[in-house]
Amino acid sequence: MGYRELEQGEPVDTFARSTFDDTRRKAAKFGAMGSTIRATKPQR
Amino acid sequence: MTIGAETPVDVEILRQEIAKTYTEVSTEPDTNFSFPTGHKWAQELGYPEPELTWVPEDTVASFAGVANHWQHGPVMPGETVLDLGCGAGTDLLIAAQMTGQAGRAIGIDMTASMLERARSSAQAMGLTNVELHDSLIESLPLEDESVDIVISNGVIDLVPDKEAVFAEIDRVLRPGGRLQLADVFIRHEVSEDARKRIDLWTG
Repeated sequence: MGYRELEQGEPVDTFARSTFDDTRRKAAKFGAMGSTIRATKPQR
Repeated sequence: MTIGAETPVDVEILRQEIAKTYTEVSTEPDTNFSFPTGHKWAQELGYPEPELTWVPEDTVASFAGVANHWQHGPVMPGETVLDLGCGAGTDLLIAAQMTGQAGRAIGIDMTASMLERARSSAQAMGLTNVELHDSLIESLPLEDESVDIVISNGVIDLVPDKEAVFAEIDRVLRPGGRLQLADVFIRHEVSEDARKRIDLWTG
């Protein structure tokens, strides 16, 4: 798509806050994290 | 988030399970979910103030975002903002405050109880610049190039056909517009067996 001005936020260990051991374990196994991105669609 | 991979699950069953999970988030927000929720979590992520404070607790209690895309900047006054998978409306109603009466805040969600909560909170806040649509985000009920900014938090990872979602974002976003997304990323390849497990998709 050719988007520009890409920014990515720092990873957040979202699932470490889960009250479920199983979720924390699975998130750690797959390296699942929250993060963000910003990008701008090019002008024509 | 993996884009372009084939879907190893029944999409209809997956949608039903996602709707079930997020209906519960909207109707029983005090339940312990496998992911963090609520006002305290939004504050911990650094959600913008004072806008967060003005969103009714009925909505913020169901907040289930995964990170804070607002760190990349606010919605500017007069902009048209689209929230993909707006849920009970925390991000949508923050965006509606930022864009003001000259702008529009459009929320898309497939969970009726979430949309009802967002609608009720918008009315309680006296916001008249909020539109809500019951729709899949893979097929948006919007005109081409009609949106200035697309936001979303913790939703695209739940959709098997991510290529369709990004094609729709590109279609509705005007040239020079921007996307500002928060979502789940994985660092290690997920096995084929794991990708077939609905419980891993729904959190």
